[in-house]
Amino acid sequence: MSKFTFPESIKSRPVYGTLEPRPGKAHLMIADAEGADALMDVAKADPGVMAKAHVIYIPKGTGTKYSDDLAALKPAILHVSPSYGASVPRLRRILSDAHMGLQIYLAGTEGLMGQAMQEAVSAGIPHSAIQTEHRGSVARRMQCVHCKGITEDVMTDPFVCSHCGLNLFVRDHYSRRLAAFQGVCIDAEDPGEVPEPVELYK
Amino acid sequence: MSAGTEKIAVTVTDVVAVNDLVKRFRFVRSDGGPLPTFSGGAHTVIEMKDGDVTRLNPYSLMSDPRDQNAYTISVRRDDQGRGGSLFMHRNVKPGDQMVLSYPVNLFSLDLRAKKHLMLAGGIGITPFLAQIKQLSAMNGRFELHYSVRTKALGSYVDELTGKHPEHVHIYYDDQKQAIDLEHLLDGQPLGTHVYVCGPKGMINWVLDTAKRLGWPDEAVHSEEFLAPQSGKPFEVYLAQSKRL
Repeated sequence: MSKFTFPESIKSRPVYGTLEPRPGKAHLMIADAEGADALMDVAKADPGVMAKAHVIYIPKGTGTKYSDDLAALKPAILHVSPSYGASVPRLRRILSDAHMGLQIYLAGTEGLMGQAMQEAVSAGIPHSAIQTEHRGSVARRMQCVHCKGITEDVMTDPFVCSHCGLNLFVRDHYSRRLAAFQGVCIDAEDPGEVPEPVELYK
Repeated sequence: MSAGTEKIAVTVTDVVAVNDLVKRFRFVRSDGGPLPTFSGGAHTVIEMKDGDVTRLNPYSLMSDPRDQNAYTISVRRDDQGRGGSLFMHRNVKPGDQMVLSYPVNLFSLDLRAKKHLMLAGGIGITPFLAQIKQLSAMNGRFELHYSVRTKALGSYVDELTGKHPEHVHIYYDDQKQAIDLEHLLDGQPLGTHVYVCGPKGMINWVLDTAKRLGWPDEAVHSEEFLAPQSGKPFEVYLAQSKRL
């Protein structure tokens, strides 16, 4: 199960599409884990794109399977990074050197796409001009509205804030600025009355 | 366009011939009060009482958007047009009373842009004159590429090159100079927005080239200075007051 259709939700919740090759002299592709499959689909649709593509790939525990597949597409540059955080200096450098006409493709988990989009938007690309495709895990990047700490890869609702320890309810309310969903204390009225955590979208 | 906006009664204070084709008009409020501020790129619709005919023509405001004392516009005479520009050129004199609409902006700057790239053809320069004043006041980054037919018909060329020598580039058609558009668009830093105002051919050229080079639609803005063809007249029945 690498492609998942999110049920319809509130307006704040990001909606992801399907990547397609677009005209441009430079292409920046960022993916994690199964997101590599979406990049391979782009390469299949227009093999010419890869020769102009800078790919940043974060395997996230998928071993070398996907990074080997991506290397076989012969992108202009392939950078395999141990984490998104480790790739940020490179990403910022690419964006600061880039010219208008750069096409951005984001694929994989919501946390990765949201954070990379935030960098691209602050570099001046309109968010609606950035292509995204969700693949792989439905885990979320959550911000605790109480302590403001971010908990990555949240898989259950409710969950415990990794910073302040409150029990947080997973909302669909999303912030593009923070690239995170909102987590709100679920037992503020009756401390300790916490429902059994359920896996997201199960 | 600007239907339904409020009107302002104004007095013409100056009519200046800029060159053979263009005249500049300056308006102040007839009641002496301040005019509304606007944003660069805004236009006003001028009501012209031409005998029995009332003409409504939109003109870009070219004065400083923060200046509430007066509005200025520039009108290029169009001998083949519907007659509005000819009326302005022939009939409007200092001291005349006229009616303007409140400013309406359909060609505003996107202030999220890190740089504004402006492409003007002929009288399409007018909205940029106001935008440049607005950007200069807030230290905005801009670059203007302005194409004119000849030196004599280059409205405001001297003013622009004098004030902003580093940021204004002029192209003279009669010297076979043309904007190297592909190269210009290709080299723009991320976060640049492009704005084009001029004849239809120029606008399409810019829109098509930008699209081919992968510019997002959100970063490409255009305004054609020709009025759209007016529609067929129709009658409206007012259901509540039962009137035609």
